[in-house]
Amino acid sequence: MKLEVIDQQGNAIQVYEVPVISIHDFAWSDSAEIPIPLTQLLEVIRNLTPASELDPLFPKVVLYLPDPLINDIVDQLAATGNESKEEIKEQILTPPLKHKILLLAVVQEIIQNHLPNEDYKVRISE
Amino acid sequence: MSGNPLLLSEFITRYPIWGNWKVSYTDRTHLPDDKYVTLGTIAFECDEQRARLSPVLPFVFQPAAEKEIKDQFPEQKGDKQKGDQEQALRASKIIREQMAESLMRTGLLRPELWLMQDHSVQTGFLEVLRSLSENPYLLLVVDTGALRRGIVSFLYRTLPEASIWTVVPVFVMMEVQHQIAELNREWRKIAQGTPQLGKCDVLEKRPQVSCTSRELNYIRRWRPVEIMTTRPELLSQSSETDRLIIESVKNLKRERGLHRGVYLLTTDKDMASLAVLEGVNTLCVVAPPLPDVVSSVRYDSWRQIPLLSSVHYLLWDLTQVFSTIQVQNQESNQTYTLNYYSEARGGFFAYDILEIQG
Repeated sequence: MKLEVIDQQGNAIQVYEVPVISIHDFAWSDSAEIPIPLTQLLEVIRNLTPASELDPLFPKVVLYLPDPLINDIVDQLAATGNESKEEIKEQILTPPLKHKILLLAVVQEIIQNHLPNEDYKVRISE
Repeated sequence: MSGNPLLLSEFITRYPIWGNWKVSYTDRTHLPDDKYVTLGTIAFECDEQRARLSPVLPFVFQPAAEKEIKDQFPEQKGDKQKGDQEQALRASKIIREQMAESLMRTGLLRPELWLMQDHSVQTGFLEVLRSLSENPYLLLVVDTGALRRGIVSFLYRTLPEASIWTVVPVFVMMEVQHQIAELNREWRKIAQGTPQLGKCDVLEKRPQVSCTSRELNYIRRWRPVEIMTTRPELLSQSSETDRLIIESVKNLKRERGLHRGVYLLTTDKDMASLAVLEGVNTLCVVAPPLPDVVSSVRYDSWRQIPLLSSVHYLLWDLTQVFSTIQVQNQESNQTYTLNYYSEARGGFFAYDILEIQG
């Protein structure tokens, strides 16, 4: 799925790609390809409903913790369980995420990146 | 109060958290014993089984509104009432500001970056990171506010490929030392006096010690950090710390013959403006306003990857600001109390340890 930020003249400013999410994951209206004003985007996404019962995504994430701490956590979990350090690290770095949570995170970032929000629209496509 | 002393990594691995929680705090400087003020709620969508598999799971934090916080402070009757209401309003504003800083330190909120260099100001996040990443190295001279808000850690996370050298002018350590003395004085007074709401400014002072020292602890284990000392006669001068830090940047560039990649890292807009006037490139960092709902999943548009923050890290940080944090899950009837201070423990800020009960 692609979210393309366009200015008032219709020029593309920035493209945000979310490859793990498809536009078909949501019961999107036919007007999806009409650019949505950035001021309304958050509300539009909040009101989206999944097209069906979706399994959680397991995308690769970065943990917002100091690196030495992540190593300590992996060492401690490996010492008390049966899994290897690599397996534990993989599990921690691929948490279950709902489609909408991830999409909302991208939208929040777009809102913070393109100010004033009134000057921009977002075109959504696959 | 005594409990189980823990490091943050031990808290994360030994205390799986899932379900719905209420977060509240108490602080004996300005609240009566056992009076807890609600800060917000935390909600997970994962079950216990998943929580036991993976200690870092997505959640949503809903901070309490200003009025909701204000209404929780005990009211006084009589002439003092108007004054108390003003104090309660002031306290609720401080609390929400401190929550925004906690959320920023722990990665749930992204700071705003203003890069001031070469007669221009860049405010676009991607534009600023592009400019910073063009340098072969980054030598960041930090002030206390930048350390307190965890900005060096933020840059380590956001620009992992960059060679970052952090320089802490000794004047910053002197400021922290002064705050430690202030906090100890407040702590000794608790035993003698009654709590006063007016003392809630301790919530602004405490992170100057707790969060600053935690940031220093971690970045020292992670990347190079230099405490830049100075001539003894300068240490006894009564100049403003801001002035001394700006002079430190100039001296550093002159003494080491550096022309590129040296930045003053500050959270003080006035100091940033002054530094730029004097030819010092500056990265000024501003905390965003506190939203109604905050997700622990953030998208990093620079690296194009989702970031995930840990609820334990948020609770840890809130405890270091608010002194005692209580989290309650009514469905599972669980309560954890995290406590920053302990009369029995020395070096509470030097080793980044908390106590937990529950």
